[in-house]
Amino acid sequence: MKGYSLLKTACQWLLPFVLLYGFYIVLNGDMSPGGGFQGGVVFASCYLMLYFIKDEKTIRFKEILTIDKWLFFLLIGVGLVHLIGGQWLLTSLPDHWRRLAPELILVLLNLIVGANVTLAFWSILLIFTEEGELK
Amino acid sequence: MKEVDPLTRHSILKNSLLIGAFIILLNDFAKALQNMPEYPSAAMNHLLTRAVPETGALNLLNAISMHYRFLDVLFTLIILFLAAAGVLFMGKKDQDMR
Repeated sequence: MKGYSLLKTACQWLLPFVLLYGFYIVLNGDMSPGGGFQGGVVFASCYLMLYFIKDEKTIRFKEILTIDKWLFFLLIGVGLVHLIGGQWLLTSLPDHWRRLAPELILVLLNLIVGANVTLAFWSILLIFTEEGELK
Repeated sequence: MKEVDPLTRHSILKNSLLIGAFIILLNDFAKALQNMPEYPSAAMNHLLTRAVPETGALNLLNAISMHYRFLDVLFTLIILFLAAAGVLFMGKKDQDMR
Protein backbone atom coordinates (compact mmCIF):
# COMPACT_ATOMS: atom_id res chain seq x y z
CA MET A 1 0.00 0.00 0.00
CA LYS A 2 2.83 2.42 -0.72
CA GLY A 3 1.84 5.56 -2.59
CA TYR A 4 -1.70 5.64 -1.23
CA SER A 5 -0.89 8.07 1.58
CA LEU A 6 -3.93 10.30 0.97
CA LEU A 7 -6.31 7.35 1.26
CA LYS A 8 -4.44 6.08 4.28
CA THR A 9 -4.54 9.42 6.14
CA ALA A 10 -8.20 10.01 5.29
CA CYS A 11 -9.09 6.55 6.61
CA GLN A 12 -7.10 7.17 9.77
CA TRP A 13 -9.09 10.32 10.40
CA LEU A 14 -12.46 8.79 9.50
CA LEU A 15 -12.24 5.44 11.30
CA PRO A 16 -13.14 6.57 14.87
CA PHE A 17 -16.07 8.63 13.60
CA VAL A 18 -17.41 5.75 11.53
CA LEU A 19 -17.12 3.43 14.55
CA LEU A 20 -18.94 5.94 16.74
CA TYR A 21 -21.65 6.40 14.12
CA GLY A 22 -22.15 2.65 13.89
CA PHE A 23 -22.58 2.42 17.65
CA TYR A 24 -25.02 5.32 17.56
CA ILE A 25 -27.12 3.63 14.87
CA VAL A 26 -27.21 0.30 16.72
CA LEU A 27 -27.92 1.72 20.17
CA ASN A 28 -30.62 4.17 19.00
CA GLY A 29 -32.19 1.64 16.64
CA ASP A 30 -35.36 1.39 18.70
CA MET A 31 -35.96 5.14 18.83
CA SER A 32 -34.77 6.51 15.51
CA PRO A 33 -34.14 5.16 12.00
CA GLY A 34 -31.53 2.43 12.20
CA GLY A 35 -31.11 -0.89 13.90
CA GLY A 36 -28.89 -3.92 14.02
CA PHE A 37 -28.60 -4.58 10.30
CA GLN A 38 -27.85 -1.01 9.32
CA GLY A 39 -25.32 -0.43 12.08
CA GLY A 40 -23.68 -3.76 11.34
CA VAL A 41 -23.12 -2.77 7.73
CA VAL A 42 -21.57 0.52 8.87
CA PHE A 43 -19.22 -1.50 11.09
CA ALA A 44 -18.41 -3.76 8.16
CA SER A 45 -17.00 -0.79 6.25
CA CYS A 46 -14.52 -0.33 9.10
CA TYR A 47 -12.74 -3.52 8.07
CA LEU A 48 -11.87 -2.03 4.67
CA MET A 49 -10.62 1.13 6.38
CA LEU A 50 -8.42 -0.97 8.67
CA TYR A 51 -7.12 -2.79 5.62
CA PHE A 52 -6.26 0.51 3.92
CA ILE A 53 -4.49 1.83 7.02
CA LYS A 54 -2.47 -1.22 7.93
CA ASP A 55 -1.71 -3.77 5.28
CA GLU A 56 -1.28 -6.66 7.67
CA LYS A 57 -3.56 -9.51 8.45
CA THR A 58 -4.88 -8.74 11.91
CA ILE A 59 -8.03 -10.90 11.89
CA ARG A 60 -8.23 -14.65 11.43
CA PHE A 61 -11.45 -15.99 10.02
CA LYS A 62 -11.47 -19.11 12.15
CA GLU A 63 -11.93 -16.87 15.18
CA ILE A 64 -14.56 -14.81 13.37
CA LEU A 65 -16.62 -17.90 12.57
CA THR A 66 -16.28 -19.20 16.13
CA ILE A 67 -17.48 -15.91 17.63
CA ASP A 68 -20.28 -15.75 15.08
CA LYS A 69 -21.40 -19.25 16.02
CA TRP A 70 -21.58 -18.42 19.74
CA LEU A 71 -23.41 -15.18 18.98
CA PHE A 72 -26.06 -17.25 17.23
CA PHE A 73 -26.59 -19.34 20.34
CA LEU A 74 -26.79 -16.11 22.37
CA LEU A 75 -29.35 -14.68 19.94
CA ILE A 76 -31.50 -17.81 20.11
CA GLY A 77 -31.16 -17.84 23.92
CA VAL A 78 -32.24 -14.23 24.30
CA GLY A 79 -35.10 -14.81 21.88
CA LEU A 80 -36.28 -17.87 23.83
CA VAL A 81 -36.04 -16.04 27.15
CA HIS A 82 -38.02 -13.20 25.65
CA LEU A 83 -40.61 -15.62 24.25
CA ILE A 84 -41.03 -17.79 27.36
CA GLY A 85 -40.26 -15.45 30.24
CA GLY A 86 -41.46 -12.20 28.70
CA GLN A 87 -44.73 -12.10 30.62
CA TRP A 88 -43.08 -13.09 33.87
CA LEU A 89 -40.46 -10.40 33.39
CA LEU A 90 -43.13 -7.81 32.73
CA THR A 91 -45.27 -8.68 35.75
CA SER A 92 -42.69 -9.42 38.44
CA LEU A 93 -40.32 -6.50 37.99
CA PRO A 94 -40.63 -3.24 39.94
CA ASP A 95 -42.49 -0.44 38.28
CA HIS A 96 -39.72 1.65 36.79
CA TRP A 97 -37.96 -1.46 35.46
CA ARG A 98 -41.15 -2.83 33.95
CA ARG A 99 -41.39 0.13 31.63
CA LEU A 100 -37.76 -0.17 30.60
CA ALA A 101 -37.53 -3.95 30.17
CA PRO A 102 -38.96 -4.34 26.63
CA GLU A 103 -36.79 -1.52 25.35
CA LEU A 104 -33.68 -3.00 26.97
CA ILE A 105 -34.40 -6.36 25.37
CA LEU A 106 -34.74 -4.64 21.98
CA VAL A 107 -31.41 -2.85 22.49
CA LEU A 108 -29.75 -6.14 23.43
CA LEU A 109 -31.20 -7.90 20.39
CA ASN A 110 -30.09 -5.01 18.16
CA LEU A 111 -26.55 -5.27 19.53
CA ILE A 112 -26.36 -9.04 18.95
CA VAL A 113 -27.83 -8.75 15.43
CA GLY A 114 -25.38 -5.93 14.66
CA ALA A 115 -22.44 -8.04 15.82
CA ASN A 116 -23.65 -10.99 13.74
CA VAL A 117 -23.99 -8.91 10.57
CA THR A 118 -20.61 -7.28 11.19
CA LEU A 119 -18.80 -10.59 11.57
CA ALA A 120 -20.48 -12.15 8.54
CA PHE A 121 -19.56 -9.19 6.33
CA TRP A 122 -16.03 -9.08 7.76
CA SER A 123 -15.45 -12.67 6.81
CA ILE A 124 -16.68 -12.02 3.24
CA LEU A 125 -14.48 -8.91 2.93
CA LEU A 126 -11.55 -10.83 4.42
CA ILE A 127 -11.56 -13.45 1.70
CA PHE A 128 -11.89 -10.77 -1.00
CA THR A 129 -8.92 -8.82 0.34
CA GLU A 130 -6.90 -12.02 0.59
CA GLU A 131 -7.66 -13.03 -2.98
CA GLY A 132 -6.60 -9.81 -4.70
CA GLU A 133 -4.02 -8.03 -2.58
CA LEU A 134 -3.13 -4.42 -3.35
CA LYS A 135 0.53 -4.06 -4.09
CA MET B 1 -31.94 27.77 -44.92
CA LYS B 2 -29.67 25.46 -43.04
CA GLU B 3 -30.14 21.74 -43.54
CA VAL B 4 -30.92 19.85 -40.33
CA ASP B 5 -28.95 16.68 -39.79
CA PRO B 6 -31.35 13.68 -40.09
CA LEU B 7 -29.77 12.09 -37.04
CA THR B 8 -30.48 15.21 -34.93
CA ARG B 9 -34.05 15.35 -36.23
CA HIS B 10 -34.48 11.71 -35.29
CA SER B 11 -33.25 12.23 -31.75
CA ILE B 12 -35.48 15.31 -31.28
CA LEU B 13 -38.48 13.26 -32.38
CA LYS B 14 -37.53 10.43 -30.05
CA ASN B 15 -37.04 12.72 -27.05
CA SER B 16 -40.33 14.54 -27.61
CA LEU B 17 -42.12 11.19 -27.86
CA LEU B 18 -40.52 10.10 -24.57
CA ILE B 19 -41.52 13.34 -22.84
CA GLY B 20 -45.09 12.97 -24.15
CA ALA B 21 -45.32 9.42 -22.87
CA PHE B 22 -44.00 10.55 -19.49
CA ILE B 23 -46.60 13.34 -19.25
CA ILE B 24 -49.41 10.89 -20.11
CA LEU B 25 -48.12 8.48 -17.47
CA LEU B 26 -47.98 11.22 -14.82
CA ASN B 27 -51.54 12.29 -15.70
CA ASP B 28 -52.84 8.74 -15.34
CA PHE B 29 -50.95 8.29 -12.08
CA ALA B 30 -52.53 11.44 -10.64
CA LYS B 31 -55.99 10.20 -11.73
CA ALA B 32 -55.34 6.80 -10.12
CA LEU B 33 -54.24 8.50 -6.89
CA GLN B 34 -57.47 10.53 -6.80
CA ASN B 35 -59.71 7.49 -7.36
CA MET B 36 -57.87 5.21 -4.97
CA PRO B 37 -60.12 2.93 -2.84
CA GLU B 38 -59.68 3.00 0.90
CA TYR B 39 -56.80 0.80 1.95
CA PRO B 40 -57.46 -1.85 4.63
CA SER B 41 -55.96 -0.37 7.77
CA ALA B 42 -56.45 -2.93 10.54
CA ALA B 43 -52.75 -3.80 10.84
CA MET B 44 -51.75 -0.13 10.64
CA ASN B 45 -54.18 0.83 13.39
CA HIS B 46 -52.97 -2.01 15.59
CA LEU B 47 -49.34 -0.96 15.15
CA LEU B 48 -50.05 2.71 15.68
CA THR B 49 -52.00 2.17 18.89
CA ARG B 50 -50.43 -0.92 20.48
CA ALA B 51 -46.84 -1.25 19.23
CA VAL B 52 -45.27 1.31 21.56
CA PRO B 53 -46.69 -0.09 24.83
CA GLU B 54 -46.15 -3.69 23.68
CA THR B 55 -42.57 -3.42 22.47
CA GLY B 56 -41.24 -0.16 23.89
CA ALA B 57 -39.83 0.89 20.53
CA LEU B 58 -40.61 4.28 19.00
CA ASN B 59 -39.22 3.06 15.68
CA LEU B 60 -42.04 0.90 14.35
CA LEU B 61 -39.81 -0.76 11.76
CA ASN B 62 -37.50 -1.96 14.52
CA ALA B 63 -40.48 -3.02 16.62
CA ILE B 64 -41.69 -5.23 13.76
CA SER B 65 -38.32 -6.70 12.87
CA MET B 66 -37.10 -7.32 16.43
CA HIS B 67 -40.37 -8.21 18.17
CA TYR B 68 -43.24 -9.29 15.95
CA ARG B 69 -41.16 -10.87 13.17
CA PHE B 70 -38.07 -11.94 15.10
CA LEU B 71 -37.93 -15.40 13.48
CA ASP B 72 -37.51 -13.72 10.08
CA VAL B 73 -34.46 -11.86 11.37
CA LEU B 74 -33.04 -15.06 12.87
CA PHE B 75 -33.32 -17.01 9.61
CA THR B 76 -31.98 -14.03 7.61
CA LEU B 77 -28.90 -14.07 9.82
CA ILE B 78 -28.53 -17.84 9.43
CA ILE B 79 -28.59 -17.44 5.64
CA LEU B 80 -26.02 -14.62 5.89
CA PHE B 81 -23.81 -16.83 8.07
CA LEU B 82 -24.09 -19.71 5.62
CA ALA B 83 -23.21 -17.40 2.71
CA ALA B 84 -20.12 -16.13 4.56
CA ALA B 85 -19.06 -19.68 5.46
CA GLY B 86 -19.55 -20.78 1.86
CA VAL B 87 -17.45 -17.93 0.49
CA LEU B 88 -14.71 -18.71 3.01
CA PHE B 89 -14.81 -22.41 2.21
CA MET B 90 -14.52 -21.80 -1.54
CA GLY B 91 -11.66 -19.35 -1.01
CA LYS B 92 -9.79 -21.84 1.13
CA LYS B 93 -10.37 -24.60 -1.41
CA ASP B 94 -8.98 -22.43 -4.23
CA GLN B 95 -5.89 -21.69 -2.17
CA ASP B 96 -5.34 -25.36 -1.46
CA MET B 97 -5.64 -26.30 -5.10
CA ARG B 98 -3.07 -23.74 -6.24
